[in-house]
Amino acid sequence: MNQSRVALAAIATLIPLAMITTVYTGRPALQDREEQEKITVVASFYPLYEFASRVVGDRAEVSSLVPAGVEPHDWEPTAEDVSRGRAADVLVINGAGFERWADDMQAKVVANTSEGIEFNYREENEAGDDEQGHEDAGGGGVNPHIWLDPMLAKHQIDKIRDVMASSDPANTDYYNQNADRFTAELDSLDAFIRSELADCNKSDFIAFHDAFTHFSERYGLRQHSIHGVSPEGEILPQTIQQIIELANGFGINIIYSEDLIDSRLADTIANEIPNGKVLVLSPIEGIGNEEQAAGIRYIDKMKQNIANLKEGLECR
Amino acid sequence: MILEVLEFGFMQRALIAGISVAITSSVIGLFLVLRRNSLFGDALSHAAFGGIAIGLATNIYPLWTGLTLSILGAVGITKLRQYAKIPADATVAILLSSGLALGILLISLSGGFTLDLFSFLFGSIMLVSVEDTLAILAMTGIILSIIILLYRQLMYITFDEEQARVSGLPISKLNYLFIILASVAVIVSMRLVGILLVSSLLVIPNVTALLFNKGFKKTALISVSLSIFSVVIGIAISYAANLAPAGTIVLVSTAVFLTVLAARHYSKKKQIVKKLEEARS
Repeated sequence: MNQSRVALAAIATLIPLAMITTVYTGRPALQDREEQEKITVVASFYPLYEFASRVVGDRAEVSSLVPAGVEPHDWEPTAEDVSRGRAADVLVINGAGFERWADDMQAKVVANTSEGIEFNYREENEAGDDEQGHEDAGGGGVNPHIWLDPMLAKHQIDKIRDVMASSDPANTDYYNQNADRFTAELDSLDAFIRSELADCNKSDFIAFHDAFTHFSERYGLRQHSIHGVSPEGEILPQTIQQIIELANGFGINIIYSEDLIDSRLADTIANEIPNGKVLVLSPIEGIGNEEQAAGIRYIDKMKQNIANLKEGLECR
Repeated sequence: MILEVLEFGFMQRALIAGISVAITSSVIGLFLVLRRNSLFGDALSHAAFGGIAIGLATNIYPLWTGLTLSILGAVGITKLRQYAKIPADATVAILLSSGLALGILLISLSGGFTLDLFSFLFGSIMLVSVEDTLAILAMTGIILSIIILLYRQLMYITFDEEQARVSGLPISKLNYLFIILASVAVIVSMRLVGILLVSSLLVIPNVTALLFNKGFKKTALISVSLSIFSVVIGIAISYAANLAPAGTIVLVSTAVFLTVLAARHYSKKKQIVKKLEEARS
């Protein structure tokens, strides 16, 4: 009896101890002193991580706060994330209300990549919640998904370049070169999109959430969406019915889902419309580790999107 | 307006799945309520939440890990209750909070999930697929037939476990079987109304039915019909008023409970007045 009690007590203390040690050894050790001489850049989520990496090349350490493949809309920083953001020389954010936690992070230098973009169709405001912005993004709040419009993405690159040049003036020329190279790629992406979408039967499409507002404005399309600005929350029965009727009204048979989201909602709607089909239209809010390892980047994702859009818009 | 929405497959599936979940959960719930173990369903669903988190973290189909963990947890607390003589409500609290804590811990470790957690917390009755509906119908059939077969034994251990033990029934086997049935029922209902609202389907229709003061079979029938009523009316209201379906269903069943309670109160008063008048004359 007594022995088993001692054994139990030993187990009860050993297991937590073992867990603590594995947690600590499992983490990457703090960066070495030598590496810290490099400028550290922390980007908020995927596209900004890639944009920043392209601009700084090998002259700075770039990391992303939101882990790979995690939906960033309702992500909240942990204490470790906050200290990482504070320790970084530059914090790159999307702005336009996407990172509601950004002010609390008190970073040394913040590169707000949406600063200076003129949101001409709405007043600048906190991003709206799910109820707003169903049809054509109506009412209240700026739509933060600027990176999906290659021309606005160019603006984001410029912003990152400017901030890097002033934080690390010695490497200004290097940053300029890198930014120019990526900007040229974005220009050719823009030309590619224009030629691919030049001859389409439809201009209306149903996105999963309100991510393609700026993209649609740029290329003369009309976005309808199942969810509002953020892709989460319980779906209401009337909303499903409205989307089905909308799809039938426009003769749309393709419902777009997203790569970081459970596709059941899109599946349910696609089941209700004639020849319904679900394709992915990625808002590129995160790229999973596997895809990143396979070398898939922002431009590849945009091209996949265009291929799927072409099917939905019936382009030749 | 309400009739035309029935043409949509998603509404038909929501109703079919909703009604079959209403039947199983009210039957399972009756035993739980009578054993003064109303929150057992809550404990099971929170343990399942921990299990779902394990599934999401390890890429195993989450409902299986959820089911496994809630059965293990339930068997565990039953053993705990028997050997350590810990009160039933305390064991429920232990399972409930540890399951939830496990889920939260795993979510924070993985830095958040790509899968919509809302659909587990609040359910998604509008999104059940054809396969889901068939699976739910099959589970309902299996659970109901087992309960009907073992109805006498289950009722015996529910009302007087000591007496049943003395008369030689395999109590612990029956208990474990019941726990497994309850876990399956909880997991199935969880998909529809979410972790947070599961216990309402198990408890509220049964408490309402008990107000009628009828025998066991009649109470079960009343409870099943009230439960079906709440689900159907709840879905109809949620559609007509564009409200969240799970919450509407639960509030309808609460409203039914309050109505029955008020009616009983009123009729009792009436009886007293009647008796007084009779005494006077």
